[in-house]
Amino acid sequence: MSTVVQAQGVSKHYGDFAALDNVSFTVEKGSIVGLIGPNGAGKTTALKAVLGLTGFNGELSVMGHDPRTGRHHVMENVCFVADVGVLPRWLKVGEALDYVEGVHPRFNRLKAEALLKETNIGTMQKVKQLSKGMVTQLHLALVMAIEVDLLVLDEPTLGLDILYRKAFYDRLLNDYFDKETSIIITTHQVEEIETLLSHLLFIDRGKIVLDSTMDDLPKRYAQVLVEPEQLGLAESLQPIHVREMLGRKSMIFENIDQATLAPLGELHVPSVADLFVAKMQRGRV
Amino acid sequence: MKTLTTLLKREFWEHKKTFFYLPLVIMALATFFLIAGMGSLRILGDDLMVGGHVEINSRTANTDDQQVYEHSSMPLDVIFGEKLAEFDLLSSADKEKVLNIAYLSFISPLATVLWAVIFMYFLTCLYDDRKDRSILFWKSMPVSDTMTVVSKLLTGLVVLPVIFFVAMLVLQVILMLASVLFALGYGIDVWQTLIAPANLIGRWFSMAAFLVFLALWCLPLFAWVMLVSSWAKSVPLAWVLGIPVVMVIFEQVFFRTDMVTGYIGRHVFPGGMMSRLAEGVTSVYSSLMNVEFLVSLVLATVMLAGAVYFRSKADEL
Repeated sequence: MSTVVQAQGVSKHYGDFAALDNVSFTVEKGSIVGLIGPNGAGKTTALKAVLGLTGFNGELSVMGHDPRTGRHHVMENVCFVADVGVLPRWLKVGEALDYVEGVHPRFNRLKAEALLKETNIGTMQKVKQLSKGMVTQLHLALVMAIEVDLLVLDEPTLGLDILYRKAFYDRLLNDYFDKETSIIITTHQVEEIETLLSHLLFIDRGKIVLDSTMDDLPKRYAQVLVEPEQLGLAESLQPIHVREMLGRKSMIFENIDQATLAPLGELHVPSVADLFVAKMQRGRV
Repeated sequence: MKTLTTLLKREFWEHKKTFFYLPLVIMALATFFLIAGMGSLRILGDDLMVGGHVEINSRTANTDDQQVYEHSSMPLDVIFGEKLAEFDLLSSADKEKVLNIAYLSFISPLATVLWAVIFMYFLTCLYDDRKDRSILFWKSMPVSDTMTVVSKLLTGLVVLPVIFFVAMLVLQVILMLASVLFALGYGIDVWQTLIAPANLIGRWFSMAAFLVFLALWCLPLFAWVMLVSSWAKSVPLAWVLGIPVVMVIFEQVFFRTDMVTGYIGRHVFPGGMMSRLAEGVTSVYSSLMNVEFLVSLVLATVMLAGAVYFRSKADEL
């Protein structure tokens, strides 16, 4: 597999505050990467660095370009949907189509129009007349009609209700599944994208705290509903997270093989959400 | 090329109100007052009895001395007929002088507004999209920052003046048609009196030449406004005005020279240039044939490069 994004020791400081602290990661072609972290962890900064929307130190290559100097080259192959609508309020839907058609060599206008037909958005409407969900639909219709190698979604469903969110991810799955397109996605609603992802990146206070494929997760992490008599043994194995559950203790272990853990109790693969809580709390104790 | 034309269209869409509807409204208003004034004179002129002093200047005769005419209760219509006949008797040079003032004053609202629209456009063109976060959308498109800045410079420097220039042409044609229609009833030779001395075609060439000159003359000012627009984190207008004021004060207090102050004064207010326009366009262009203009070009280039630089670093505010 070829590499779409290669980050090596990327840092970004705002004064004394390190938004990104020596971050390294790669995004392979065709992978769907969830970039997950609490507020202010550096998710958006990381995405902006990839997109050439902010400066940084370190090495970062996106489709072979340095985004700091070649943003407009990067953008020929990368699409970006930011959190809440960044489409200008004065823009008419038809003008948005004309604009993207005029500047983007890989835009398929017919496809965008077909996508818009499925919505209630009319081409004469201005962005300011659209609801929050419709603005996202519009932006997504524009982006999905562009044949790109990398799609960057920053909290794409923030502020949308559950119906929109569901439709959004269904659309995403249908459109990009089996495709060569790579996707980086950040979100707070971890549960909603769990099934979508092929890679997981946890970021906390500017550092990558977990970098794994979804396939590798079961090998690296296990959740055990510990039998009461095994508590002492379990604790000696240094779980990364302990939680009371229905009077019993549920523990998450990292890099301990299943043969060792099996006698302690019921074994599960931790959900991404549980893993997230475990990882984030761990850094804070 | 396709990208550039799309970017120019994008600027037009965003500013349709000031780029399109504003000149249209000004044209409509000017035309309305012209027609309404002339029309009511033709229709009501017979009945309007004017007594006592009627003071008429500028449009009637020699501009140098205002004349007061005594009329005892004459229809206004008759008075204007007399004035037109008097005007007809003037030398062609005098006719041209009078018509020149008429044609220039008729478009002066457009010219003034054009100036304000260009200034406001440059002030906001690299600032507003940072403020409303839409810069994240614009920057997610494969358009280089240089291209963006160039498209905005062209919009303010070429597209806007061209739009307003066309509006000025139309207004002057309207003025000519209206004056000819108005004069038809008074039995004067409209060609010799009103059309030929107005010299519309020649006038348009010199107006176009003057607009081109103004664009060049004000380039450092526009570049400065764009630079501030690309960089200011808030109230760009305060920086646009504040920094030059500080520079002037600094120069006056510490160096007691007049270089910066004079330069800024000359290039911010092209007023001196307006009066020189009367001497002809060539005279105006001769003021570009010196070192100061070269300095202006260099300054403008540096500031525009700065605008591109800040644009490449720009993020939402």
